Amino acid sequence: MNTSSKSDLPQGTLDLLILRMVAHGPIHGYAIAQRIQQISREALQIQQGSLYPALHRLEYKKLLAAEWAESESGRKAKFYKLTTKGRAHLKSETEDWARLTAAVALILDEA
Amino acid sequence: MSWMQRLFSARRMDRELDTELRHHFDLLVAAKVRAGMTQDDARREARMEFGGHEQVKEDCRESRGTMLAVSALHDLRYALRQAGRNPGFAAVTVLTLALGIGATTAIFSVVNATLLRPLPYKDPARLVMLWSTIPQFGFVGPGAVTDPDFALWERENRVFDGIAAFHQQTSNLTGDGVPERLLGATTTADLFPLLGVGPELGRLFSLEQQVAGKEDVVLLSHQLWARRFASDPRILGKPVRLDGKNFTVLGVMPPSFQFPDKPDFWIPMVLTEERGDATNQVIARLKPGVSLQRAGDDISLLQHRVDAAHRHDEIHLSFVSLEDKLVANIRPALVVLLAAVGLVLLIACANVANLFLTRATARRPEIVMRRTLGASRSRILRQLLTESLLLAGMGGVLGLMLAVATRHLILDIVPQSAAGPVLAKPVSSDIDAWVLAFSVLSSLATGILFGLAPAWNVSRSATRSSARVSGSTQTSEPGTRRIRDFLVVGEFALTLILLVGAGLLLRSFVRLLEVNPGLDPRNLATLNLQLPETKYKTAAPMRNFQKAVLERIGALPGVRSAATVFGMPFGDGGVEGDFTIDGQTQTRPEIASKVVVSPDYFRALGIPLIAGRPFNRDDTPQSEPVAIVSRSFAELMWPGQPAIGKRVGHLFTGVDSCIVAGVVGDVKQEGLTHDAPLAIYLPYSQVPDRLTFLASSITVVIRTEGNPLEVLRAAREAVQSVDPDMPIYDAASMDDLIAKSVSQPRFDSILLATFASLALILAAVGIYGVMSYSVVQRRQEIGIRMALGAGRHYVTRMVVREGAMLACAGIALGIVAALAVSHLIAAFLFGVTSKDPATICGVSALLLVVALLACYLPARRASRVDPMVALRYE
Repeated sequence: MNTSSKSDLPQGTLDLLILRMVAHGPIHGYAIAQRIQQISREALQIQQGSLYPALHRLEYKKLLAAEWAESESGRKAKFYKLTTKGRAHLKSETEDWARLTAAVALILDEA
Repeated sequence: MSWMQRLFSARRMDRELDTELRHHFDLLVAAKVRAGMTQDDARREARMEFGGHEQVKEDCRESRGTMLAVSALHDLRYALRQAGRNPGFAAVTVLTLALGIGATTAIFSVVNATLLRPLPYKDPARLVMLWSTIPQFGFVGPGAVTDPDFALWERENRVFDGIAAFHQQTSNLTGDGVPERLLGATTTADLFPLLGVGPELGRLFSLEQQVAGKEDVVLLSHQLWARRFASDPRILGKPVRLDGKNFTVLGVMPPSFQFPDKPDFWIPMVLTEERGDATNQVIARLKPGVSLQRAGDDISLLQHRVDAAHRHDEIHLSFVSLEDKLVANIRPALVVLLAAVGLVLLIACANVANLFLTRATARRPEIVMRRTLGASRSRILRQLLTESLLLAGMGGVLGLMLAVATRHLILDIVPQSAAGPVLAKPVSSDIDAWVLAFSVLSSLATGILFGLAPAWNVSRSATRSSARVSGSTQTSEPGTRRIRDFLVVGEFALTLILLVGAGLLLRSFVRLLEVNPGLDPRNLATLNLQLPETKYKTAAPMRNFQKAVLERIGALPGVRSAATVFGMPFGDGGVEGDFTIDGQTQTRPEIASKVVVSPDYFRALGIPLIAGRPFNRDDTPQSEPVAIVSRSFAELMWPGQPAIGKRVGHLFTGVDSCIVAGVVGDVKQEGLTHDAPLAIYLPYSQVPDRLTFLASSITVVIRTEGNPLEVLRAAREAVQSVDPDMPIYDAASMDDLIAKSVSQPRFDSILLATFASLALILAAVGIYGVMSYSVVQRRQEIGIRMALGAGRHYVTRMVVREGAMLACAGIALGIVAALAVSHLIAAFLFGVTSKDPATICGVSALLLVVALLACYLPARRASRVDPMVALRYE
């Protein structure tokens, strides 16, 4: 079950994943965790203990905005969406990530 | 949401966070149920997956970035609750600190008003005053310059942006209402622009008014205008009668303008070509970048040309900073007082630190518990410091209130010395931003100072003994104990220093009061008269006036005798100068005080006649000129010979040779602290008419049957029945005059004694606290001792001895320190040395007795310990 934990994700990666999930439109915390799990084919399981502090931190940094709305189950839930600043941040972080992984892959292949 | 909003909506945010997490949890459970789990299994698994609900919440809170502030708020709330739970402790702490901070702030507000606040003039740092030194007479003081010399300086100096001359004068104001003697200043017109002040009403005088015939204009002080003219706005252009002459009111000066020494009016100075007496004092504004030294050199150079032609006396002229000189007399005393009050604050801190240590030890279980639950050491330190800062803050607020309430008391007894204005600087005792800042800072500093040591100690000891959560309060903590002893010893040392200081000042004050003034001050009234030369013109009418006044006052009921004098003891002083003996100039010049008196003077003042005769009605302008000398004069000039029949001369211009007719006792002409000067007395009847100043300034002394103050009113009427326009000034009893002459030492010793008493009380409370605590801690040990047969007396002695050892250590340390620093107050002492052994022994004994008394109470409590109870206590 514990296929992954906080320490398995490089520093800052969780933030990047969250921003990417939120980029599709307003989404609540549970759905973010589910989506990451599904897309990664169960490889990444996000612990709530990491997810919520990260969400709140991003909110206070004004990369995310949040509003309360009714969820699919009919209950009040907190929905996060990207701010303009968050979208810019996601773009630059994604590019950085691509460069980094490409460089790491290159070294692993060639060396 | 901003940081501030996050900080203050913490509760709502917590609620929302809870909802959010709950939503997640429920969805997780629902998903598991869908996957085929039972409701119970799904919940259990979800909970395991979720991790600690509270932990997640705490992490989310952490991410808000407001934790530090939030925890500070928590600490504050907790500290308030702690204070509420232990009101006695909080009250003692706050009161102790309030006394310390209050006293310090009160003295600081006086220091601020007198020493720190700049003069209310334009760019006061560049204002300088003429100063002179006459080595021959050992004179150092304000310099003076003649009219033509001043004109020369004004014209040719290269160092000043502006220069003005002034001198003080007194005038009798007549017209509507009672005649009044006013203090005024004659100034050149440049004075006002030089100081950068303008009138409140009307206009200033200009150069045109500095011309003979145009100078009959006057500027009134705000105070005179309000008092005498009911703040009449139509006063401008109206005449005011001064010394029988009319002056037109040109303007009114603002209330804050009191240069040079709180005058009631200013009139223009007309500079003459005549080289008369040097009477003009000088104030100037240095050009930027010019030093005092260069200004003095420049002027001395100018003056050198003049002196070569006219002067013989060796006078060194220099310039001094106006700001420095105006506060020069009061500064040393205030600095000493500020240091003393700082010591009191330190003692208060030590006391409170001790209280905190006691309580911190009692709170160790609580702190150990928090450490065990994961609170970091810095977190606990922060909380303990918050508590001490809260109490310090409360102490500070209360202290500030104390300071506000008492600063008038202090300013009221700030001495106005007879020798000159001590506080010529206008002082208002407002609590300004500086005073506020001072009290806030001193509260913060004390809070940290007394809070840090105990906090540090506790959080450290808590780490060490974290295994023992049950942490018994009975075990003594050796480290804490050492700090507490150290604090008490330090407190006693500081208190001893203060006591030595206060003891020395009180002792010298008593010595001062014991000084024989050389006259009998009881039932003696004095009043002063200034006969305007504009009205009385020559000596003859002045003499007639004097005679008439003496006759009428002498005839009043309750008056034993009355006399007049020029050169009243403890008064403005007369004339000092050199003299000849038997026609010879002295080889080693001495200075004598020359006093002119009426025949009954010695009888009225109770000055004993030692040889010869007093003056009498037979001493007339036609008879042989006579003089009376003081005892020390006679002994110094004619040792071993009778003085009667010898000759003294060169007393005043035209008084060249007098026969000594009598010898009288020495009188402390210049105040109790000064040695009695050599004195030569002359009869009014024989001084030349040309010297009108001798006849125009009159002090009347009245020996009364009863209370001298009651006679003064009748005396005033008697004077005004001779001349209705004649004001009376400085009417007082001789006792009051003497009291006034010792106002500075009284101020110093009252304040220092107050602070020393405060320190003594604090030290007593301090040692009482430490010993009480020690007794509680050692109850078990004492119980065992008593069970083994130790008597009550033994136990009492044991505890008292322990306290006495602390006190003695402190006293010994204090004596060493006091010996090292007591020379700092040597200048304030009279008749005792700064290392006076009697004072040091006396105050040490006092402190020891107080310490023993303070220890006796806990010792007695110790001796009442019931061995059985004490042994079961654990």
